[in-house]
Order: sequence, then structure tokens, then C-alpha cells
Amino acid sequence: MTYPSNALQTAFDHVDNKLQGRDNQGGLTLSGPYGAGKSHGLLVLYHLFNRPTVAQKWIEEWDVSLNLPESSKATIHSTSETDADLIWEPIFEDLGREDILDDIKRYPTTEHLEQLTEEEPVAIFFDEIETWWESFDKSENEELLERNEFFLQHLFEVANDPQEDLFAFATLLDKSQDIKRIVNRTNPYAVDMNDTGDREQIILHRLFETRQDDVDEKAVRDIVSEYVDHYNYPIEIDEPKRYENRMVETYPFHPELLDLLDDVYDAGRERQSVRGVMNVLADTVRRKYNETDLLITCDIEPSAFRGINQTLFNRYVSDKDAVDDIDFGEDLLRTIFLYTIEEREQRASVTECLLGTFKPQKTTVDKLHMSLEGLYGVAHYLDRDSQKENYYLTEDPKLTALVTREQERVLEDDRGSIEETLVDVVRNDVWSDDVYVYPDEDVPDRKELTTVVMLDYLSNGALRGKLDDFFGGRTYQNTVLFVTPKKEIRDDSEIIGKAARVLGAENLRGNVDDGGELASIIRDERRELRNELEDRFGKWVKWSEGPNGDGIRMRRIDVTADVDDVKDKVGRDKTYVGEKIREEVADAENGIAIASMLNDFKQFRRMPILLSDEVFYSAVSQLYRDEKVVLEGDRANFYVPQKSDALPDLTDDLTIHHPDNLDDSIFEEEPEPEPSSENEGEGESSSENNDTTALTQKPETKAVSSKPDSTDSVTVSTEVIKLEGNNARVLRSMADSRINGEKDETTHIDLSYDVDNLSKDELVEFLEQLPSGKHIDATLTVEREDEN
Amino acid sequence: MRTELLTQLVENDDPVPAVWDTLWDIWYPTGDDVSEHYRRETESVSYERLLLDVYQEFFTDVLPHKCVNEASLNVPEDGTFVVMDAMSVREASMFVDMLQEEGYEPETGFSFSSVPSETKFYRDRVNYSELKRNHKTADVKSQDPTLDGDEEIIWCRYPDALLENIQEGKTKLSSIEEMYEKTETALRAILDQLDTDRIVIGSDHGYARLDAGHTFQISDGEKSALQETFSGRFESVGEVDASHLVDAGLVVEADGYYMPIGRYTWPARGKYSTFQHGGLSLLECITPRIEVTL
Repeated sequence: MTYPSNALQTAFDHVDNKLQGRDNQGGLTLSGPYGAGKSHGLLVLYHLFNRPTVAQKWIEEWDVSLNLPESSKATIHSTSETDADLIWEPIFEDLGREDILDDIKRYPTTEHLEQLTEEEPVAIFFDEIETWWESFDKSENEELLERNEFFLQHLFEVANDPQEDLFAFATLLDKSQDIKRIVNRTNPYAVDMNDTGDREQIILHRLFETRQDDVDEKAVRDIVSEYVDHYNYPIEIDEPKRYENRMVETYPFHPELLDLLDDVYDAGRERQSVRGVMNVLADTVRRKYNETDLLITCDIEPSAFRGINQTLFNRYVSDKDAVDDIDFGEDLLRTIFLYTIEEREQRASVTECLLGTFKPQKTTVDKLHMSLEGLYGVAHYLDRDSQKENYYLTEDPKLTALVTREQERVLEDDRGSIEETLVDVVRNDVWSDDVYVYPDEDVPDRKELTTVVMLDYLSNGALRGKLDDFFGGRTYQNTVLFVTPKKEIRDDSEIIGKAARVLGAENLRGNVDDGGELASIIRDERRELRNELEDRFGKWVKWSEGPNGDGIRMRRIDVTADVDDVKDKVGRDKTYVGEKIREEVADAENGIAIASMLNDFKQFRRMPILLSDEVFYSAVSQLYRDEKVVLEGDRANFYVPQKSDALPDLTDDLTIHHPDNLDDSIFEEEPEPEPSSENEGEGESSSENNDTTALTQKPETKAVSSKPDSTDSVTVSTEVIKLEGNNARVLRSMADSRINGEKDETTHIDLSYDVDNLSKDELVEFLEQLPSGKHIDATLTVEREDEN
Repeated sequence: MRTELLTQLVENDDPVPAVWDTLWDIWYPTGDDVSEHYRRETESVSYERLLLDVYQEFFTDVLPHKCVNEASLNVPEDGTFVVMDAMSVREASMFVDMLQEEGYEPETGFSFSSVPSETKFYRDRVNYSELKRNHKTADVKSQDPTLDGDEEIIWCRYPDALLENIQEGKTKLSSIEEMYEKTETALRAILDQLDTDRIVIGSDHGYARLDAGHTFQISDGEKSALQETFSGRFESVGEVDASHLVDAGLVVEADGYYMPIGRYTWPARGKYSTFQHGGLSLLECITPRIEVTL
């Protein structure tokens, strides 16, 4: 049974006014989008005139004020069924007035039409007249169109005649400007079927047999009030009592559900309106009627709306699995999806989310609210506004939200992986994959130079302890360049937070279809972390032999986060390497094989660090050229620079000797054929003497009178003699052999000391040991650590 | 330590045990690994140089006398004499370690090579062809020999066959570590298969390392003189006259041969080896003996 909606009742009023003579207008159009009920309304009106007696009973049942005539005639024409060239012909035929047709020439005149109502009221109905009109070809059917136009004009004119009981009804979709122009000439009443104001009543009437008046309102109110009683913060309802009343009125549907569906369909005027809502609700009732006491938004099956936005629907489906672990996550997501596809708002407020999902027998509003907040970052396509007041689904994954969520999760559950990420960024991004990170990674014990970075910010004592552990049992101790941070890293919450964010973003790889945005986010997050970390490096740990040869000392030198900078600080000075080689071989009576010496440089931290083997070989070559070492090959094959032996290939088996440790016979040349002279004695002198010769500058000679007036003069020459060694005894020995006790007087001494990182106390002690002089100049080279 | 041992050289009637003890102290306990162990060579050289400096007669009289008169190969009763060709104190100390790890209780001592310190001269000296007739013997030339178990004399060509292959001139063919590993493998295989109560492991001679850092320093003139006289590590007195080198203290004459003393050597061209024997150095002439009761 049809429900007399507000719109229909408006139409009824117009009919009644005409019938009762209160109004002359019998023309009426029904408008509205597809599904608004135009055709249904037209049929109701048709039945009023076609079966007035039956209709009158129905009208009275609904308590509507309309007095129908005892008899009347009606004819209805749906252009989808009637394809007449001249539309009046089936009308006159249906009304049994073919006789008039015979009298019509080009089109019915008003007189012809007035003849129709001579005996009783007549109502003529057109459904979808615009479709029929627009089917004519305007150029080919010009005459037909013109004849039909005159008919329609006359029809609505007569319908507007107070003397004639003629009614003309037409449904309009606003598709034809011609029809609109023709019909509106007489200003017929227009009833908007969509703007009925009682759509909910229509829906309820059409879905349920039970009339609203027969529903047990108390029982309904009991159910509804249980809901309303729980509608507390953060649900916001202005007037709970009024809201409750509305819920009673729309029962068994939640008013929010009906409003939402109304908005969803209303937004798309082209779509089937109430008819679509009807189907959705009918389906929901069928599925849920024995499961729930109130149908709310989340009870709706979202697939019904996939046509509105297939992509968004797919996103919803994709996210269902993601929120599986969240209580009512899927219900909340469904509610949010439905609000999102509503084109005007495209979002669900917190209140809408909760009202659309909450059922008092299942959970509490608080718990549901927690679940709602928990969705964010878990559902890949869920986003919310910055105030967290509205939620919505997006077609593209909400990556920043997901990253934030994953960041929070790893911070809570996966500290180990965060540290791994930190290590990865330090190694690959900060240090360009050129380092090991200790102790997180195993550092190979190898001959090649290795830079090792630490993330722990430690005091000197703690660092020393940790590095002692590292070096314990390690063969190649002097190939490791340790760099420590100059600020906290591992224990800095900001750094850990950023590393967690990088990890969070990387964890999403393969889980979201992002079109490349995730890669960009990962890149940005890594860059941000890298920049932060770069500022925190670093200090290179420099080892050196203790001042008295008692163990090794540790110092920290500023470096930037760049292996090349660390190497620059290490230095490539082969002079120091050469000095160390000489020092070592001086203590080795039988010399040291090149391979063994090179190995020592790599093993022992007291030695200078070799940036490359080439530095070592170059230093050996230089020492040889400077006649500071002698080399020995297999089977007593000695290479003696003092004898001008060419430098041999520096193969591993060669042994390096300090000249002082070699027998004099090594330096003896093959006997020369020439007779010996005074110089022969010098030739037999020790290698030190040879050194001295080589290092002695050519004397400057000047004549000095022994007495001012004397013509005899004594030649005095000035000679610079270089004494070199690592202790006073060696220098004294050199001085003994090179300075003539009777003839020579020393006038100036330049002392230059290479020392091993003296502390202040050690320096003072050193200076105090120096003898006094007329004037002493001292230039100190000091390495100073900057405070950070 | 060294002073004490030097004192013994003077005080003892026979200085050889003191020299042997010093050598053994240098080489035993063994190094942490084979490479480290062989680096003791330097210490050995120093000692030999010192001995030559303070007790030249040890090289000119004592050691030649011992080699001429006391080189021996005594097959133990109910046992086997295993000759490890060219085994020196360097290897013997590591064999002792190996045997102890296997659960044996080895006893160590020493003997002598002949002069020159070559297999041929040793075999002649101990009358090896007679020994072979009287004892069941086996010749071992691989790391994986097959023995009957009741052999009384076993002549293992290792390490001598391997020493020659370590180096040809400046070309490295193998390594001293590899040489040792293969020799030990062969010895283990021999010991595993012998079914006798007692085993004596000895050698016909040792060897001298003449690579860099392991020789005595020498003048160019002396080098030239040696080079002109010697084509190998020894020369027959009938072939050359090296009396001037004997006078110079570089060479000793014994049993009709001239041999360089200790680590004296001279440059050689071509495919020379730095692992040599035939001369009169401590590690060539004083050979280790290890006795094991099974």
C-alpha cells in the first residue's frame, strides 16, 4: 500500500483545490531525480481519477483531505511504451473519444479538449514525456513537433481553465527545454518529489509491513535509550532527548545511517535515489534483522557502493586485513568508508565514526574510541585531519601516517632493529660504506687499513677498556682507525627516534602500493638522520708509544665524518715511518726482514700507521738513499749504499740492517788497484763516519789573523756538523769522532727533538734537563684537542 | 742463560752437549705456529756467530772430529730407526710436540752428520749398505707410504726432497711451512703403521738457511775468494786449494774436504737454493735424535 508522502499530499491539495473550485490550475508536474518516486506518484494520482471510489477509501485511511468525484476518467501514457507521432491520438482513443479525432485537422484545439470533460472530470498523465519529445528529429519532424506542441499548449491551457475539469500531469526530469517552455506557459504547479521531507517515513513504509502507528514505541524507546545513554564523550549530541526521539522515529535504522545514505545518493543526482537507498536498506535488514536490535552504519554492506568509487572501495577491502587485530577495526573502517564516499563531506567525524559503529552490548564508547585512534597508521589508506577530529580513506596510501605508526611500534617493540638501522645509516650513508661499525659488526683482523666507527660516546677510561677488549688477541692492531662520536648517538632519543622512523618507513616496503612515494620518504628520512649523525662525528683515536717506551698512549683527534679526512689526520709523512724503521732495526742485531718489518707496522700500535704499503717501501728506499740502512738479500748478498750499490727491488725476503749493527767488513770495498793514501783511513771508518761525511756541508773558509798586527794568519773554517740519533750517547759518540778536541770550538747548537706526544708534565721535565746557554730558543709543535 | 752455557763450553770435557742444549733451548718449546717457530732462525744465527767468535775451535776441531768419528745409525733392539732425511733441530722440536700430543713420551738427544754433511757421506760412514742387508728397510718417498710394520730401518726422503723445492733462485715455489706440514704427515703415517716396540727418529744431516738475515757477514773480498774456490757447499782437497780461506777462518778442512764454517756463504746466480747442506754449521752437523717407546 502506498504511503501518502508529503509531496504526494501537496499534489493532492492542488487536485482538491481544482475539484472544489478553489483554484483553476489543473496542470501539475512531478520533478525529481531518478528514483525520487515521480513515476510512482504519477501512478497514485492516476488511480485517484481512474478508480475514484477505491481511491477515496485509501485517502480516508490515511486521513488525507481530498474529495474525489464519484466518477472520472483517466488516461496514462508512458512514452517508453507509447511511440505515437501524434500524442493526442492514443489519449483520445483511450478515453473512448475517437469521434473527436475525426474532427481534428492538424492538432486538437481547445474546443476539442473541452469536449473531453463534458460529462465528468478527465485527467491525462504523461510519464517521461521529455524522452518522447526528444526522440523526434527536429529538422525532419518539424511539422510533427509543431502539431504536438500546439496540442500540449492547448491541453495545459484547458487544464488551467476554471470552467473545465481537465487535469494534466507530467513527470519531468529537466531534460527538455522545449517541454519546459511549452508546459510553463500556463505555470502549472510543480511538485518536487525529492524534497518530500518525509523520506524516512516512505522508506519505513515501503520496507516494513507494520505501519508506524502499530509499532510498539515503548519497546523501541527502551532499545534506543540504551544507545543514547552511552552516547558520551567524545560523541557529541546537542539534545539527547530530541536525538532519542528521532532515533525512535527512524527505528530500526539509526538516523545517522539514513542521513548518510540520503546524502550519498542525493549528492549524485543522476543516480537512483530512494530506490538505491531502498535496496541497500532492504539488503541490510535481510542480513541483520535477527542479529541486532538497531541497524547502524557499519551494518551496511559496502560493496553496494563500489560503483561510486571503485578505487576507494578497493582500498577499504585492502585495509580490512590490516586492521584485523584491532577490536571493531573493520566496523569502524566500514563506517569511515561510507562517509568518505559521500561526496560533499568525504569524511567522518569522530562522533559519526562512533555512532556508526557503537553497539552497547558489544563494547564501550571509550574502547571504541581507542580502537578508532588505533586505526591510524595501521590502515594504509586511512588519514585524519590534524585536529584528529575527522577520519577518511584516501586512494593513495597515507604514508606519513603509516610511517609514524610503524615508528611508534618499533620504538616500543623492536629496539634491536632500530640499532641495526642506525648502524646501516652510519655505515652506508654517513661513512659511504667505507667503515665497520663496532661492536655491532665484526671487524676483520686484516692487513689492510680499516676505518671502524663507534656509536658509543664514552669517557677515555671506558673507551680504553672497550678498545683493550677489541684489540685483545688481535694480530693486526695498527691497521684499525677507530673513530668515536663526539656526542651521544646510541643513547640519544632524538637519534633513536629518527632511526626508528627510517626503519618504520623501510618496514612498509612491499606492503603498500605507493607509486614511488615511499622511496622518496625513505630517502628523506635517511638524509635527515644522516645529517644529524654527520654532525656527531667524530674523534679519531690515535695511538702512540709512551714517552718512556712504557706501553701505548691514546689520544683523540678531531675528524669529520669522512674516511679521507681521517687519513689526512693520520698523515702520509714517510720521514716518521723511516725514523721508526731505523729505530727498530737499531735494536735488531741480525736485521729485520722487510716483510716482517712491514708486518710489525701493521701489528703494533706503537708504530706509525701506514696509509699504504707504498709509504713503507718509499721510506725504506729513502733510508737506503740516505745511507741509513743496509739491505741484505739471500746468500750474503749485501746492498750497501755507502758502496754505491744500487737499490735492489724491495722484495719481502730482503733484510734491513742498521749500519751500526753490521760488521766493518760489509763496508769494505774490493781492494782498489791504486796505492792507498791518507783517505784510506777514512774509508775504513765506521758507517757513522760515512754518514757524517755524507751529511757534512762543504766548509766555508776564511782567513783570520791570530794577531792583529801579524802578517801570519791562521785559516779558520766554519763547518756545520750534523749529529743524529735517538739518545745523548749516540750524539756524544758522533761528536767524539767528528770534533777535534784541540782545533774545534762549537759556537752554536741547534737542537731539534722529535718526541712522542709529551704531556705538559713530561715537557716540563724535559726542559728542566736541558743545559743552560747564553740564549735558548725553543719552538714547540703542539697538538691541541678542541672542546666539543 | 747464555753466559752459563758459554761457561759450560769451557768447563766441560765435551762441549757438544752444552751447544746442543743451547740449540734445543732456542727451538724448544716450539713457537705458537709453524711460521713463528721458524722465525727462531735469527736467534740460532746469533748463537752460532757468538760461538764462532768465542770458540772457533769448536768449528775447526771439535765438530769435524765428532762428525768424522761419531756419526751413527744404531737400530734399536725390537725397534725401528727412522731416518728423516735432512731433519734439523728446527723440525725435531715440533715433532716432539706432535708426539707428546699423541700420548708418547719422547726422549731427545743428538748425533752427528758426517762431513761433508751429505747423505752419501753419512751412508758411507754408517755403512748403510751393510745395514740394509742385516735389517728390513723401507724407503719412504711420499706422505702416504705403505709399510709392513716390521721394518727396522726406514729412510724417509722428507724433508730433504721438499727443501729443495722451496725456492729456485728468487722464485718461491713453496714455503717452509708447507714443507714442515708435509714432513709431519709422512712421519705420522710411518708411526701409525710401525708395529715395533721402540722407534728412534734421527737424520743423516740437517740444513743451513742461507737466506737474508741468516748468514754471517762477510766482506766483498772474502765473498769473491769463496766464490772463486767453491762451486758447491764443499770441495775435495784434491780438487782445490783453499788453504788461504782456512787461514782466513772462513773454511775448515776435514776428512779430505773443504767446507765453509757456520753461516758463511757467498752470492750465487741462477737457480740456487737457500736451504743447503754439505757445510759445517751447527744445524747441518749436529743432528737430533728422538726416541719413543710404543
